[in-house]
Amino acid sequence: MKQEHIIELLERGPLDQLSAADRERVRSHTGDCAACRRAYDAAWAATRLVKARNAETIEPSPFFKTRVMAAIRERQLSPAGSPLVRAWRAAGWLVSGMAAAVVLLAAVSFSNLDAPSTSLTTQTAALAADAYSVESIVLSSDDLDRELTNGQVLNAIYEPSAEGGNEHK
Amino acid sequence: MLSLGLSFILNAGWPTLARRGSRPAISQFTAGTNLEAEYGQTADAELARLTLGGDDGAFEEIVRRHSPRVFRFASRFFRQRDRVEEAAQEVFLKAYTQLGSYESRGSFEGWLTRITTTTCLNLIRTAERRPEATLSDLNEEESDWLKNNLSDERQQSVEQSLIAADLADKVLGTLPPDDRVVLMLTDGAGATIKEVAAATGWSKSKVKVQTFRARRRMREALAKLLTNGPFHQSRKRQDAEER
Repeated sequence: MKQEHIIELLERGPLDQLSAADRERVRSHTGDCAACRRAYDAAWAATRLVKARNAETIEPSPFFKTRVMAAIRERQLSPAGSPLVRAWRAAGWLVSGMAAAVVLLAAVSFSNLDAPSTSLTTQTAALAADAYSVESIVLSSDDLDRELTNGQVLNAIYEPSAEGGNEHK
Repeated sequence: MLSLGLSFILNAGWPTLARRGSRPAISQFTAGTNLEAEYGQTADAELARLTLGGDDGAFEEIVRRHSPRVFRFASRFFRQRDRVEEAAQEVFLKAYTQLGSYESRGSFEGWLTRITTTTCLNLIRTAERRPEATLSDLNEEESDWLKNNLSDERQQSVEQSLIAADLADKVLGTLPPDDRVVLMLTDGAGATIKEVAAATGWSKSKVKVQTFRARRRMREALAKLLTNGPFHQSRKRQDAEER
């Protein structure tokens, strides 16, 4: 029990940081216990070796900075993130553009399937039946505001014509 | 085909090509400029922001400012200059690419220390671990050091310190990488459990347990060398003389 306590003490921290009371406890115990004495010797050697190893340092060479910057240029790195993130960011506009195009096409397709398609069919049929009717001229006009007033347009569309009267019968 | 495409994305670096027009080449930028004079008063967070904006000179200043510290840190785990330089370069390359993840609220040094620790740890993990150290691995000077320096608290000479560092490297090389890191940080550099936890990203409990285990393994490795060598006999004689 006493031996375990000493060994636990050796593992609690570096030996050079033991308190005076703990040092005295270790010293008195290791005087009688050979196993703890060996453990203490080894722990002390470990503490000194780690300190000695830690004291060794290597300073950067004057060319280190240049070497790092050359490596960055050589590897074509970007500070924005990892290669995959960068690739995604670079390709993002392309993917976004394609997605927008798909959505637009889908919207146009669905709108063509709805009610307006019926009126378009009617208009097409009317144009086919009377290519020179007032309505056909109005619908084929590029700039309605300049050519006709709103009232004229409405009259032209809803005024029953002699030629087109057959449709309403 | 897929791997070819991936390697193109990873190696060709589209963003770099896109940025090249707006970004000055490094050699052009640094030519004739004095980094310390230009950026010496600029805070780390500001240098990071400038780098993200395409100013490589700002990152050069980060390297200049922090490389001594990164070298000191890497020196704890590698002894050859080329290995230390390799580790330090890896640290700065990672820092450059991950700069976007740095949040200015935290300390830049702390952020860089975390990168340095994980980089060194990964490099140690990939290196081959030495088998158990035996007496035959030690040269005469190292054996003498073990024999003569037990319980000796006096300051060591430069030569003795070098021998001790050689011996330490041999014994530490037999320990698992995590043990080496915590031992060098706590017992070597005097870092607290909290500091090691911040540097490694481990929990404080894990650091504490790892440190205890590492000390035990180091002690046991040295105990074997001491018990099997002539030091044990020397110790017995010393004990008899003291009595």
